[in-house]
Amino acid sequence: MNGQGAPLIELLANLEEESVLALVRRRVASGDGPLAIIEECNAGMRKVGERYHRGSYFLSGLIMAGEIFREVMELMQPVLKGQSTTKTSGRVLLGTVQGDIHDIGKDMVGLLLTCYGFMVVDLGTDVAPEEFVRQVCAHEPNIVGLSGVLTASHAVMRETVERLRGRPCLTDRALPVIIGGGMIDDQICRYVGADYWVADAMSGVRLCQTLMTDPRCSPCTERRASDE
Amino acid sequence: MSERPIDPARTLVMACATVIEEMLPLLPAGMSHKVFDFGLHVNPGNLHRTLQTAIDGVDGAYDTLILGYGLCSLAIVGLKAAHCRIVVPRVDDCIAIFLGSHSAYRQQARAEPGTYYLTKGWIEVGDTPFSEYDRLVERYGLERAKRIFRVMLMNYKRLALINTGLYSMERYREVARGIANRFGLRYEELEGSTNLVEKMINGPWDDEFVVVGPGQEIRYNQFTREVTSHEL
Repeated sequence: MNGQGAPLIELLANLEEESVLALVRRRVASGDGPLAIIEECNAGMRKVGERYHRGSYFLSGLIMAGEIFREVMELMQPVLKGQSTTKTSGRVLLGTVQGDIHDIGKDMVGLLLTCYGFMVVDLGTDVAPEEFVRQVCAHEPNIVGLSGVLTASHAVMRETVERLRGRPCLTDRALPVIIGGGMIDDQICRYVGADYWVADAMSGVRLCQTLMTDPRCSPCTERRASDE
Repeated sequence: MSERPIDPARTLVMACATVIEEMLPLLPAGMSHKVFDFGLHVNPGNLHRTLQTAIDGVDGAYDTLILGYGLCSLAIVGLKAAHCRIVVPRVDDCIAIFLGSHSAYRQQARAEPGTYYLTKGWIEVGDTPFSEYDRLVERYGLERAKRIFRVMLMNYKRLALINTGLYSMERYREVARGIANRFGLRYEELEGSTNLVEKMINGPWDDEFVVVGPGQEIRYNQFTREVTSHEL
């Protein structure tokens, strides 16, 4: 991390929108690597999450942080596009399962994946199991990500995974299913029948990167971005 | 399921501030209760620790502890009492308690997943995202506050006030309608039910409840259910 890293983390953690965007613009102009900027923003987001859990931020703080993060990602897109090669990192199909309409976390994962060169197919929210099956067969993704914040979504995720495992376009190629969203742990991952679970957006990106190179990493254990 | 009879004097209700509002009018004479801050739900780990500490503090003084909670983001998983049985409704969260059953909640969620629910308890506690709005305007200015709320309510269409029939709803109706108008949501009043609350207090603790004996932990898999095809 260079000397400008810590201020960016702190500014984002303090929800200083204009200062964050001004600093990011300056760093981009001075030639700083976009992924380093994104990693620092992610560290700022982690601090926001910690403050929320400690009770010093409310839901609005999380949303404001998400907005700032989204704006940073938008600033990064042209820079990343300029650097990218024609080959994508892989194709990921994302969606929030039926009965759940929460999408802030899912959208953040989608944005980050795009920044890291993945092609993302986002099905939106309240997506029926059969729709996941149809879209998987249509897009043939390398990885599927199911999102859900409510505990009621666990049963729907389970049904979705079951139908994906029995999809008509089933091939020998593995289709790893990752779950994320609300309170998820090993036991829920096993109940749902998913292959992996993640607790934050960057861990999801790291896991997708790992899965594209090593599809045999251990299932249903917590994956943290810092593990990689 | 074998059930010991319920002795109100040997039973303690431990409930969230929002849930207790719907229990108090129905509690039998002699049954004690303890209320926990609604704000604890924001941090499930903290809610878990608070409840376990409270359970440890009364363990043995009662035969039965009735939890006025649902799974609540897994906060209640792992709770146990060495000398009491623990009873908790087998629901995801308190909305099912107010609507009267898990299936009534599923039905509502299926019909309109983008629903923000309110009850007397929530309005009294004053701890809803809507109550943050004025504070946000002060902190971030009007435009940013509006932007945050646009994101927060992006997929919400309906604001539903649950009426369990236990209270006069005029004041709460007015508050809920005001919120709906202010934030562009469709207002609807849903008929709630005291069915689950009555069963919590008086039994029978059938398959709508998780009951664990002394020394046993509440487990996640006691709450899981298959989704039937008509629920999708």
